[in-house]
Amino acid sequence: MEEDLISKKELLEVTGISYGQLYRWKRKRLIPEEWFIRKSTFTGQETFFPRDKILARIERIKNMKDDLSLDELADVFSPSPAGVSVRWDEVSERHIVTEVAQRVYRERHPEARVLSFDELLCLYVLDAALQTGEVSLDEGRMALQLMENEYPQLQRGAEQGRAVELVFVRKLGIATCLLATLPGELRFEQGARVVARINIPACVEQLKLKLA
Amino acid sequence: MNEDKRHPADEGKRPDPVRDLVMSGVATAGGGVYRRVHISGVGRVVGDVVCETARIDGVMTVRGTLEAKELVANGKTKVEGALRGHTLRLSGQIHVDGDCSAEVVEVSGAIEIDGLVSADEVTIRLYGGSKVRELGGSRIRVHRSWRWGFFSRYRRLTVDTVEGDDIRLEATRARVVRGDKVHIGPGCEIERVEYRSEFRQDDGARVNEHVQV
Repeated sequence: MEEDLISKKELLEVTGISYGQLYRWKRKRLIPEEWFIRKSTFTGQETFFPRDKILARIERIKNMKDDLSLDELADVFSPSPAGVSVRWDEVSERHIVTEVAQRVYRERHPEARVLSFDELLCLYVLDAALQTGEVSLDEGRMALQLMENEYPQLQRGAEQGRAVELVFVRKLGIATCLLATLPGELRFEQGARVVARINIPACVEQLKLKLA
Repeated sequence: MNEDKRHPADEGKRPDPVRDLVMSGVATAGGGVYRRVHISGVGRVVGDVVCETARIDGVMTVRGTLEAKELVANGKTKVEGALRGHTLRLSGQIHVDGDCSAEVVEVSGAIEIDGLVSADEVTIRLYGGSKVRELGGSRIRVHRSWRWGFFSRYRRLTVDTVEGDDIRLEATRARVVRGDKVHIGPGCEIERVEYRSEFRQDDGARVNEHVQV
């Protein structure tokens, strides 16, 4: 998988940030270590970044740094769970997820009153999947179950900066879903169709922003 | 010789699991979380150390990462991992195998850092041959020491890349220096300077090429 890369020099030019800021954000772990890719060029070793990811991240940091301190920002971007829990009625009041997702979740956990961050994440991922418009309610239930059973095992990897993705596959009307840790490649046989892919770290980030 | 001391302020309070690490003489200890680390003599710590303040007088080897909010090291310090903190004041001989990152780094002595030195403010006063892979930050200063001696001409810093907003170098040999304001002082040998707003080169400095970007 050859990613589109951007050199450090070009990055500073495009975004207008300084070396000092870039290094400060790196130290504060606003920019993950793995994005600093060292490559040899004809002038020697240079640093590159995955273009889309870094540009999006810097844009977000620039937008939010006036409202949040750097340490708070680091919490937003870190893939580890935030130590918060939310009451069930707040979930609907604050419009964290749609009502459809709430109903699906309610079927499975009729008596849930307080959701921890991990539980909320499962709900949020379910909602994200349903909102793509490609995933049916049944598939959503399946995904919720998968998330609840298997995501805790993958979380360690996620905290070390590896992305986890939820993939929906369908073939001849039969649907299934799976969790994959990236980077890695998934290949499907001909008749199968990937219906939707949900990036979990992105969900974590969005959810944290909604809760903040 | 090797004692785990509880902080006097905590006596009589609820038991606090965070202790001090005080070593004097020749001693070895395990890593862990400490409040204050004080080493005089020859100390060796096996494992990662996280502490509030660390003071090292003498010879210290850390087989792991050293993380100290405030670190004062005099003598010979070797860290076989990364060195992290807020304020690092290092003098003497310092060797770090990994990256060195803090908000303020002040060095006077000879350093050898195989990774990136990253800090808002980096000040290095050279008292011996020094080697760093990369220097990155906002304000970067490298000075030659005042004292004159037979070996003073060996006092120079060899670094691959220097990147910062406001850079002032002396006695430095570098491949690339990139920054907003760059001032190359005497004794420097720089292959390429890329600057944005300001470039100055003193007499006795060699710069192969400089470009404004």
